[in-house]
Amino acid sequence: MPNNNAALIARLEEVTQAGLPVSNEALGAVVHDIVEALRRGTGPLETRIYEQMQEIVGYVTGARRDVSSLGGGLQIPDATDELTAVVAATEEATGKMLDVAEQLGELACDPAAAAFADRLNDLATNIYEASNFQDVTGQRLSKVIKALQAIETKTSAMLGQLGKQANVDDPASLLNGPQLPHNAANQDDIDALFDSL
Amino acid sequence: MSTVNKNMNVLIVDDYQTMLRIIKNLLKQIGFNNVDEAKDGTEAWNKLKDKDYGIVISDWNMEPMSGYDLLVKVRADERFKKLPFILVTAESKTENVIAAKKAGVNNYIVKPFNADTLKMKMSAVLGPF
Repeated sequence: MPNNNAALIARLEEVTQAGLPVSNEALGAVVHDIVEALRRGTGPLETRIYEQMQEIVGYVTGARRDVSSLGGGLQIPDATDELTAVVAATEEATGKMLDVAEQLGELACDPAAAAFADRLNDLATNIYEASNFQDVTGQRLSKVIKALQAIETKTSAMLGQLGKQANVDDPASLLNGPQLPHNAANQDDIDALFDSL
Repeated sequence: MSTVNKNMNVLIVDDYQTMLRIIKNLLKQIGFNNVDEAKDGTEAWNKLKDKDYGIVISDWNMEPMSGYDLLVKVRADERFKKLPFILVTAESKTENVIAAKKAGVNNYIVKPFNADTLKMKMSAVLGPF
């Protein structure tokens, strides 16, 4: 039916103009219309359909090439392993620093060190405070690792979208993780916001 | 004069063993020695049902039950409606603070934090000590 072919062409043009990523629904509708068109035989309209399809394939191929080039030759699974190792190494190092801090605390309780007790406790506190970095750094790297794994999955399958909007009705969408220093709110900002609510 | 009973049971919740260790030691330095640990909201919830706690200090980002989910669950239970609850988290976006406040958190500490901040926020919730 000519009208149906015209509708298919319009749909293909719409998808082409919308650019990537193409939603699964849109892609499914296009494929369905194409199958229907092929059942009806070929003609000038079908030739245009094939041209449009080639254009879409060109977009997808180009996008795949672009995404692949993002890694600059680095294999994403290797990168995630490297980052996971960094998290483990910093956790181990932090554990050793905490061992020292706890020993300082114990030393502060020793009567023989009574004259230095306050100083020893202060030093232990400084180490505890500084060790906070491991938790925040670990969370930052875990966030990057998850993102890399998601990209790997998406690019391999060439399905879905590369990101989604936060949904405040969904508690999981509130798991933003640590903010980068230039975006992060400090304790004063948090206090001001908290008190204003 | 301090009115806070430092012998109270404190429940700290975090999926990073290192952070549990840091908070436990900082609490010890400010005089709170009865500290129990839980590695996520589910474990914390089970401990809350079995023992009386004077305050909960919880991380946000944990699985399977987050600190936020734990807070909501705690506030939904009549027994724990007034249980002091502080979130200590790297989640510092406005939407997080608003959600936590709406859910009934008593105070909010952003990581990384120092000993003074921990003491100050606990004092704000429990009273001066």
